[in-house]
Amino acid sequence: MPDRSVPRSLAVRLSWWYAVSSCLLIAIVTGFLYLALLRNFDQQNERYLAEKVAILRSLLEQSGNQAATVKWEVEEELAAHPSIRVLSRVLSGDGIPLYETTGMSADLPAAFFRRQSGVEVRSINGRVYRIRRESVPAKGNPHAFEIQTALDVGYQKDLLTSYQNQLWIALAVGFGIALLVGHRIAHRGIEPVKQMAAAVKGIGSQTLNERIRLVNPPAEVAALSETFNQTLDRLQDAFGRLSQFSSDIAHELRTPVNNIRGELEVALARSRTTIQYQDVIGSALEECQRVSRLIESLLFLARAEHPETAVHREPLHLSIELAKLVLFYEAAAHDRSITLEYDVPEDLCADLDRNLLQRALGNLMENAFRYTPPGGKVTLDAKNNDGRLLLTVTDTGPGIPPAHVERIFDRFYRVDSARSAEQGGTGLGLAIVKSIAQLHGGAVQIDTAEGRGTSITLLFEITKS
Amino acid sequence: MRVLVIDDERKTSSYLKTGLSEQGFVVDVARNGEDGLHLAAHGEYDLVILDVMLPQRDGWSVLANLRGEGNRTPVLMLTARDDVPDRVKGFELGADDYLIKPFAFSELVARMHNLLRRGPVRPATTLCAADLEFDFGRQRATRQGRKLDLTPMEFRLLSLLARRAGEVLSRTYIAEQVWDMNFDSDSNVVEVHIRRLRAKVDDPFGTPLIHTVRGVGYVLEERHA
Repeated sequence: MPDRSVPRSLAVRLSWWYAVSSCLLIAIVTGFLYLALLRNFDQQNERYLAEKVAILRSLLEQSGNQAATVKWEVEEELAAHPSIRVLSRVLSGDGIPLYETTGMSADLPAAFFRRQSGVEVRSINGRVYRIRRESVPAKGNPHAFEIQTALDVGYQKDLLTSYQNQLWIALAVGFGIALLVGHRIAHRGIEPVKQMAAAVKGIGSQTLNERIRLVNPPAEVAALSETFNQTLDRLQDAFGRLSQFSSDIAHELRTPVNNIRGELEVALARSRTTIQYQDVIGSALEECQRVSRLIESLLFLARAEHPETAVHREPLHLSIELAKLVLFYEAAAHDRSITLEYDVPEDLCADLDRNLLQRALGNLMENAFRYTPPGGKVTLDAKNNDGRLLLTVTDTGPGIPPAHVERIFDRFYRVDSARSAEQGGTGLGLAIVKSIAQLHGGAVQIDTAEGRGTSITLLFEITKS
Repeated sequence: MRVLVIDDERKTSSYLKTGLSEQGFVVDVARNGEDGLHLAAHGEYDLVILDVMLPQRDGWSVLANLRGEGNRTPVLMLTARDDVPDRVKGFELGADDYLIKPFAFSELVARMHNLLRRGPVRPATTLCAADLEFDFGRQRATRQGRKLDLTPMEFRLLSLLARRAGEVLSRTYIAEQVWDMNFDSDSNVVEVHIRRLRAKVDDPFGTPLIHTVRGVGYVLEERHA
C-alpha cells in the first residue's frame, strides 16, 4: 500500500530513476570490457603456452644431439626472460623428469599436471599458473615424452583485480554524478509545475478572477494550466451566479417581509376599525403566501438538482391533460381578451409526471398571459415528432430581446425587473420549467423575436412502459 | 370533535387551538412527545395533529408507539421538512396525512374534515346549502327555485363550496378539487372563475353567498347584515 499522507517527490523519484538507469548502462559497458579483457588474456596465455610446447616438441623430435638445446630451453628460459615467468619440464616416457626449470618441482610438482591441462592452478607457493601438458612420440621408444609447461598469470590476476576495483569506484562515482545531474534535470523539468502550484495556492473564493500565467512553459504544462484556467472560468461563472442567486433570494424575501412589518407596525400605532384591521391582516396573509410560494419554489429547484429526485411517471393522454389546463385557464384568458387555442392529436400518449407536467405548462401559460396584450393569442400545441414529444406554448407578446434570451431560464432573471415584479411571479417560473424538463431527461427550447412573440417548447422522449 | 395538538412551538399550538376551537373542535395541546403520547393513548380523540420535531420524544416515535399499541386514531403530521423519504416514512409508520409548514390554516381544516369524514361515505344525490339546491344526477343547481345556467366546471366549483359551506377554502385546494391542478399557481386564475360564478349565482339575487376571505380563499355562507 502506498503511503497516501506523504506523497513522494516527483523530482526525487525522477533523479533516482535517472541514476539507476545510468549506472546500469555504465555497469553493462564496463562489465563487457572486463570480460573482453579476461578473454584476451586467456587467448594470449594459451597461445604462449602452445608456442612453448611447439618449440620443445620440435627440439625433442630432433633429439639426441639437441639435448643440450632442450636443456637450455627448459632450464635457462626463465633466466633469459625473467619478465615472463614460464616453467617447463620434460618427462621421459616412463615418467622420469629429464629436464626441468630450476625450482619447478618445489612449486609445481609433476603430479599437478596429471589431472588437468589448459586450466589455471594455484601452486604450492601460492602463485597462479596456467598449465599445459602434451605428449610427444619419441623415436625408438614405445613411451612418449611428456611436456609440462606453466605460465605465471599472477600479474594478470593482480591487474584484473585492480581493474575491477577501479570499475567499482567509477560506478559509485558515476552513480553519484548521475544522481546529482538527474536531480538538477528533474528540478528544472518540474519547475513550471511548482510555479503552477504556487499560483493555484493563491486562488481562493475572493480571488477567483486570478489566472495561472507561466513564463515559457513546456507544452504539457501549458496544456495543464490552460485546462485549469478554463475550470477557473467556469468556477468563477458558477460562483458569480450563486452569489447573485443568494442576493436575489435575500432581495425577494426582503420585500414581502418589509411589507408585513410595515403594515403591521402602522396598524398597531393607533386603534382602528375592524374593517381596517381585517384589511391589514388580509394583506399580511397575502405577503406570507408570497413568501411561502417563494420558499416552495426554491426548495423545488434545490431538490430537482439531486439526481435521485423521484419523477412519478405514469401513462398520460396528452389530449386529456391539455384539455384540463385549457379549462382551468380559459376564464383567465377570456378575462384579458386573449384567445386561447390548443391543438393536440387525439391518441398522443407519453409517460410523464402529471403534477410536474401541469406545473411546467401552467408556468408557461401564466407567463404567456402575463406578456400578451389584450386581443392577442396564446396557443398550446402538442405533437409527436419522430418519437419525441413537443409541447409548445406560443404567445403574441412583445418577444424577448436577443441579449436576454440566453439567460431567460436562470433563476430570478427578468428582462425588465421593475415591470415583471409589478405583474407578479417569483422570477423562478422558467427556471422551474427547465428543471422539470431536465428531471424527465428532456429539454426546453425557446424561439423568440422582438415584436413577433415568443414560443417555448418542452421536448420529452416518448417512453413506452 | 376532540382534537389533540402535539407541538412544542408556543405560537403554532396557540393559534391552532384558537382557530380550531372557533371551527367547533374541542382542542387539547401537548407540548412534548411524552405528554403527547400519554394523552393520545389514554384520551378519546377523534384526530391527532402531530409535529415531527418535538422535545423528549419525536413525532415519529410518538406515531410508532401509538400504532404499536393498536390505536387507530387518525394522525395528521406537520413538518417543516418535506423530503420525500420523510414523507414516505410518515405514511409507513401509519400517518393518515401530511402537511408541510408553512401551510394555510384553511388547508389544515379542509384536510381534517377529509380525515374525519373517511369511513362511511354516503354518496349524496342532492344537497341543500342556504337557498341553493343541487341535483347531482342531473348536474343541475337552483337558487330560490330558479335554475342556474352553469357550465360543468362552474357546477363543480359551486357544489364544492356548497358542500363545505361555512368553511374557507384556499385557491390551491379549489384548483386541486375542481380542475385537478396539483400545483400552487400564483396567478389569479381561480379568482376569475369565482368572479364568473358570482355573476351567475350572486348578482341576479341581491344577497351574495360567495365571499372572499382576503389572503385565505373563498367561503359560501349566508351572511346577514
